[in-house]
Amino acid sequence: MSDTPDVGVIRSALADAGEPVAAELDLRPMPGGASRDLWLIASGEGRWVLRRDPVDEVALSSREAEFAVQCAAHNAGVPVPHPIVFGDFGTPGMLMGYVEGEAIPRRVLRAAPAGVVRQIGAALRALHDADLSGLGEAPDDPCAAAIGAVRDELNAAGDALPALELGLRWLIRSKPPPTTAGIVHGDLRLGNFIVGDDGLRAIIDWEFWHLGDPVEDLAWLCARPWRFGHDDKPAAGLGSFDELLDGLGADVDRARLRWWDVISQAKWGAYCARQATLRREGAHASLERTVLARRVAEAEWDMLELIDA
Amino acid sequence: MSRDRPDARELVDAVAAWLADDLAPDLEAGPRFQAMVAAQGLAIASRELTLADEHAALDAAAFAPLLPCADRDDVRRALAEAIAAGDHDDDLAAIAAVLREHVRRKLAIARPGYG
Repeated sequence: MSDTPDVGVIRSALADAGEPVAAELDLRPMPGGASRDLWLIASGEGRWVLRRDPVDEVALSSREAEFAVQCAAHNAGVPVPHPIVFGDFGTPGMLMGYVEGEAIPRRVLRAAPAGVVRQIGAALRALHDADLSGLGEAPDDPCAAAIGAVRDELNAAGDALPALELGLRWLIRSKPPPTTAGIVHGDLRLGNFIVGDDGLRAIIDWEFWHLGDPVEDLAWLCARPWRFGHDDKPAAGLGSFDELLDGLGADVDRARLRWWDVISQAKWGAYCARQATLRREGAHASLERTVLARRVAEAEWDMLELIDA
Repeated sequence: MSRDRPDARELVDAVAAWLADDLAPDLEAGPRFQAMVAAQGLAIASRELTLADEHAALDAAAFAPLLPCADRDDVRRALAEAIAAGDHDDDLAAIAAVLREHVRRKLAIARPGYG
């Protein structure tokens, strides 16, 4: 496996898919792909993106499943980069259309036009109506599965975090009943939207998708860490919750939403704490992730506030 | 006991100030961000050097009454385990009030002003 994907393989995959690829094809790494390997492809007038597993890493999620869910979302009318083909590009990966625009949170906060939150709500409504066939089985109880995931992350972190333990007890005792499963993006937040002057252009990075309770995405989208200080705009730091509901075209069970709000903070806190453990274990040497670990206190605070509300 | 100066906290503060005030402004955006993260990490360390003992004593005093039979060496872990075991399910609100003060102390080190 080479660090650079094979241009010939990419070119024939695009040509086989009927894409207007020219004789010359330019390939360059894209910034912003924190966990996956992203490449910008240019040929003639066309622009595409290759998103594949990094060469030096065991993938924890499947690019093939990510391709499948991106197709389902695309077919349902959710704005996503147009999925073209899944294949072996040195590592498993997918080719998709390039979407021009801004994704870096602080720039999106400056550039997003009014109404973008309504568009995000409308995209979620389309996602909730997507065809689930071929996407596997939904868990019987998505809330129980989410509790289990936080428990596992906390155990892996290994730190004594009594506030998060209290949150887990609250979550176990307040767990809402199972609901109709839908596609959950799994990391729907500022940073995973491509926005232009016309508003929302694409929801990207479907790596953490799963079948579950669609309210999960609403809560994660509105979680405080993703507002980047714009606490007056609970929906991704971009707008109000009412605008989001307006786009969604339906109200949300508030008790269920609050439950997902609480577990969003518990999940974020456990994730933060885990970064310190992973550093000690030699799994990463990132200064940013190491310092991030101390944000566990912010998540604990926000979680206790939500429980108390 | 007297120590040589600058002491640990003074050294950490000096390095943090150098990173943020002297080094970072001349760097490109990427390395500048990293330098500011480094300064932020040292600022947390500095506050912890100042506050850790006081906070440990306050936590121990707050947690011990909730743990009649527990090992007193690590009351924080003992409390976490007791909560996880469901021992406090009937008084989660009271425990939450104690833990808010605990987390407030953690924030005073990790992110003053957050709340």
